[in-house]
Amino acid sequence: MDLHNAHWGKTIFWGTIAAMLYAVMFYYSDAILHLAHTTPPSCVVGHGAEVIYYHKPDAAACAAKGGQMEPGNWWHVLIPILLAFAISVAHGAFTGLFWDVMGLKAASNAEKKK
Amino acid sequence: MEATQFIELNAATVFLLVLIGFIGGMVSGFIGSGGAFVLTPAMMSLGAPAIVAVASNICHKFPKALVGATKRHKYGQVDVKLGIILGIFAEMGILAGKHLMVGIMNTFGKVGTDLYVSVIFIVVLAVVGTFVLRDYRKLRNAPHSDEFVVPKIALWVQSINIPGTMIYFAAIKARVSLLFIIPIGFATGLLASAIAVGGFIGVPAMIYILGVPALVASGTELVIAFIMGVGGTFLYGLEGAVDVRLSMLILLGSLFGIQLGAIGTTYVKDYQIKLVMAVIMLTVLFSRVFYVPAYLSKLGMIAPIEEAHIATLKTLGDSVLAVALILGAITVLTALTKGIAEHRKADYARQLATGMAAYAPAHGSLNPTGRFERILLATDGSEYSEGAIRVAVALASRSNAKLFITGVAVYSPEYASTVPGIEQAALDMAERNIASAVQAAAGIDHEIIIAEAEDPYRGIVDAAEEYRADVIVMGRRGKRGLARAMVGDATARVIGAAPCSVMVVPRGAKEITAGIIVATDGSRYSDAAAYTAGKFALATKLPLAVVSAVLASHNEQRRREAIVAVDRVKSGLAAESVDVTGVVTEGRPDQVILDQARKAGADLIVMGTHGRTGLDRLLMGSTTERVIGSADCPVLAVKG
Repeated sequence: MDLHNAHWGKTIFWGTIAAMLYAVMFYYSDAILHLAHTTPPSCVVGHGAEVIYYHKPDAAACAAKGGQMEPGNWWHVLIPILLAFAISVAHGAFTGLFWDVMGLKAASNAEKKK
Repeated sequence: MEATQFIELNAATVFLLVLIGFIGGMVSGFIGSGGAFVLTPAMMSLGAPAIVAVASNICHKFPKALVGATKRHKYGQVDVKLGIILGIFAEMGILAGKHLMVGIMNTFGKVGTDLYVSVIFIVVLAVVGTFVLRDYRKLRNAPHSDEFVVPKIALWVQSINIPGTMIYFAAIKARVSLLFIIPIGFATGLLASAIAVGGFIGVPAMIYILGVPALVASGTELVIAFIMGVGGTFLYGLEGAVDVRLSMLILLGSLFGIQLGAIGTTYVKDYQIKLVMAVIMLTVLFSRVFYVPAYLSKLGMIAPIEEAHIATLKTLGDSVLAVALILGAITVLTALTKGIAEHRKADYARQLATGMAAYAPAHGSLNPTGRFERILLATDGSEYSEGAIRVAVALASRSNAKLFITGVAVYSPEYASTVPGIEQAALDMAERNIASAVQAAAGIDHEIIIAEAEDPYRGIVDAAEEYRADVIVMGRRGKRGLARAMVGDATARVIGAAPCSVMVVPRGAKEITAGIIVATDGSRYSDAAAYTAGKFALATKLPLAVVSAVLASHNEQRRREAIVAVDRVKSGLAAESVDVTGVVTEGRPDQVILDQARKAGADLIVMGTHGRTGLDRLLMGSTTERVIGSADCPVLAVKG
C-alpha cells in the first residue's frame, strides 16, 4: 500500500537514530555505570571489569579493601534521565511506525450503519 | 558499607532483558498501563537488587508517560491541574517511600528491600487481581453495564466544603478540597516507590473518590506518572540505584511489545482482557511467594533454611514467573492472529461490496480526482465544523452524492482496559459530536461512521480509505490575528495522509454558488487541481477562473511561462465547455490567489498538493497551507 511505502523512510530514519543511541550507550557503558555509581559518595575498589562500588562508605573500611573514596556528584543523575529521554523518543517513534509498515493495524470495528 | 551491584550483562542476559521487556510491554499494552508491574519481579529474578529493579523500571517509564500525556491532552483527556497537584503529592510519597526503602536497605541490607518489595507486591496484586476478576465476571454477564455514573462517595467528597482548601477541577466540573487530594497523591507515590507502578491506586481513586470520568482519569494518571518518574529517577539516581542499561534494554523490547499488545486489544472483548489481567497478576503474585521464605531466613526472622532448599524455591518462583509471562505472550499473540484473520475476511467482503458500488457510478467520471459521489464529512462537533457541515450537506444534496458523516472516537487501546467504560465514553462523545451534522443531513442519503483511533486524523484518513471517499470535507481551527495563517494540526495531517482530495471549510463559509478559482503553477499537481475544478464547474454550472502568480523578481521568461501555463489550462477546460477565464498577476502566490478570489467573488478555491508523502505538512506546500489558513471560502486541496 502507498501509505506503507510513504512510511518506510521515516521508519528507517528513526530506527537508525535509535540504533545509534543504543550503540553509544553500550560503547560508553563502563563510563555511564561509573557515573551512576559515583552519584552518591562511594568507595571504588579495583579497576576495569573487576571494579566494585561500595555506597555509604567509611574511609577506614574503604582503605582496608584497598579502595579509593569518591566524593559523589549529584549532577551525574542527569545522565540516565537525558539518555532515557532521547532513546525513548527515537525508539518510540520507530516502533510506532514499525508495526504499521509491517501491515499490522488496530481494528476499526465500530462502524455503525443507519 | 555495602556494595550495590548492577547485574553483569552478557549476551544471554541482554537477550533475556529485551525478551522480558517485549513480553512485559505486550502484556502492558494489552491490559493497560499498570501492566509494567511484571517488569520489576522479572528484573529481580535476573539478579538485580529490588532497589535497582524498581529504580530502573521507573526510569524506563517516564518518557513514555510524557509522550502519552501530551498526546491525550490534545483530545481533552487530561486534567493538567489535577495531574500536577496529584503529581506533587505523589512526589512526596515517593520521597517517603524511597526514604523507607533506603532505611530498610541500611538496616537489613539488600535482602530487607527484597522482602519489602515482595510483600507489597503480593498484597497489592492480591487486592487488585481480585477486583479485576470481579470486573471480569460482571462484564461477561452484562457487557454494556459500564456507563459512567458519578459514584456516591465522589458526590459526597464534592459536597464537602472546607474553606481555604477548595480547588476547582475542570475534569469533574466541581470544587474539591485539597485535603482529599493529598492522601491520594501521597499513596500513589508511596506505592510507586515500592513497585514502580502507582496507577493501581491513582486511577481508581480519581474515578471512585473524586468522580473523574474514566477516560480523563487514565489520561491524568500519565501526568502523575511523568512527574513521579522524573522525580523517582532523580531520587533513586542520587542513591546510585538507576541502571540505565537495564532500563533501556527493557525499553528496547517493551516499546515493540506495547504497540503489539495495544493493537491486540482491538481484536478481543473487554472481559477477555480482564481475565488475562487477573490470571497474570495472580500468577506473578504466586511466583513471589516462593522467594519470601529465603528472605525471612536470611534476615533471621525464621529458622535457617538450607541453601539447597532456597535454590529450589528460587527455581520454582522463577519458573512460575516465566510461565506467567509466556502465558501472557501466548494469549496476546493468539488474540492478535485470530482477530486479524477474522477482520481481514470481513474487510475483504466489505471492500468487495463498496468497491463494486464505487466502480459502477450512475454519472460522473471514473477518475477519482474529478468525482464527488462519496463525500466524507469529518466533524468534531465544535463550532469550527459548522461551515463544513453546511457545505458538505449542500454539495451532497446537489450532486446526489452519498454523505458519510464521520466522528472519531479518540482513545488509546493501551489504556482502554485499565478502566471500565473508557471505550464507551469515547464512542459516546464521538456520537454526540456528529449529532448536529446528522440532523442537518436529514433527507439526504447518508451513513454514520464512528472511527476509533488514537489520533483524530488517523481515524478520518482510515475511514476515507475504507469507504472509498472521493473527497473529505472538514473544518479548520481558525485563529484570528497573528496565528491566522496556522491551519489546525489535524487538518494539515489529513491533507498529508488522505487517499483523496480534502475540502477545508472555514467556520463562516456558505454554500458554493458564485464561482471557482483554481491556482496553477504549470506542475502536474496543479493540472490535477484544474481537472477537478473543471469537473466541479461543469457539475455546478459555475464560472471558473485560472490564476497564476509571478514574483517581482521573476525574469521575462518566467512570466511568459506563467502565461503559457494559464493559457494551456484555460484552453483545455474551454474544450470541455467550462465557462473559464484566466489571469496572471504579480505578487506572493497565496496573496494573489486570495485577492483574485475576493475580486471575482469566488466561493471555492481549488489547489493542488503534492501526493501522499506521509511527511504531512512539510510537503503540503506553504502556499496551499497559507491559502487554507486565511481563505474566507472553502479550499479544495486536490491530490496530484
